Amino acid sequence: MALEEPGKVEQVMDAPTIRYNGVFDFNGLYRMMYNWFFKQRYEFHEDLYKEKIDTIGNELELKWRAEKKITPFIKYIINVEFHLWNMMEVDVIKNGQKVKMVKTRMQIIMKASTVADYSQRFKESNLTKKLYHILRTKVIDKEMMLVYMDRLTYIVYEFHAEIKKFLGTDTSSNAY
Amino acid sequence: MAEIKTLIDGKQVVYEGLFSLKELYRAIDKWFWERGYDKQELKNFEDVTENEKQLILEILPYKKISDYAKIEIRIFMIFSKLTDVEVERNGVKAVLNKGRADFSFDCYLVTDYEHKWETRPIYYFLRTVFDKFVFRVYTAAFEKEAVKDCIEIEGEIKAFLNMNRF
Repeated sequence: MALEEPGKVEQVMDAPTIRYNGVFDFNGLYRMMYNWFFKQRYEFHEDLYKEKIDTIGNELELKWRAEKKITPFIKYIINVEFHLWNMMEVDVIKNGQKVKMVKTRMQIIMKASTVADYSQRFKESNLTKKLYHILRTKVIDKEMMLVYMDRLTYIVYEFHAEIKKFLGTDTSSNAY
Repeated sequence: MAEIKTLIDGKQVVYEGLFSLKELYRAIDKWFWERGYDKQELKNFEDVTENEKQLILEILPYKKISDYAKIEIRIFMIFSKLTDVEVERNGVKAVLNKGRADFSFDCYLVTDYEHKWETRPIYYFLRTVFDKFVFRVYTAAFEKEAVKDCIEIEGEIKAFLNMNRF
């Protein structure tokens, strides 16, 4: 039977995907999402920023990774992947004022994972690896699932609802 | 891989007319929350054009009824040709959506979702025998609960949509 690896990234949920095709304030969305991570005290990393300029509209790819150490043993990681196609700046009259917005097709995929023993203290020797396996599968298994993974799932859904609210969709409410 | 039994496969509901998408989504979300289901929204695709919008939504809320079995209800929704319409009800103006709504319901009973009984062939064999003969009563009860919940949410959605018929 394969032993549980210390420091293994465990995916918590199926990646919810948002696709939006229309006009919206992309700069505002970017700022809102960044500020959300900042307020929640996540360590923010932009792993990829790729922009392709084209006459029919730019293509933009972004990959974000936000990490937060919940305890000295457990860490949350939220990955957000953006992909925007046919991005074009348009001028829109909003509340009597001219505002710059973006007309594009956008896809946002969010993934959430937990990491136990992120410092890999149990990776020292075979004995500590076996101890970790017993700890992870027998001692803290339920606690990981019910306390940490469940909580992270709902944190991501809260973020998911904030994004939909910003985009002005009708499906932005969240009973949870 | 966990054992997945399909109890309801592709039950369709189609509606054309006035409804409030915001309230409908809220009602579905609240219904699952009240019954202890965990949220799982897989797809939320929105296409906004000048005159109308289209929305594709797929949700798969689940409920772990024991450490061995869980119920999953999948609702696949397509809202097309949606436009905003202002309607007056009892002297109060409200903005509703007019368009077509297609719903598809699936219901699954997933057993051994923690994959504890499939690591070896002998475990798999024991699991299958126990599921079919020893725990038959419990499995049947779980299936009944899953089907009941799926039919109830279908009824809720139909009742909600029918409320807006003029």
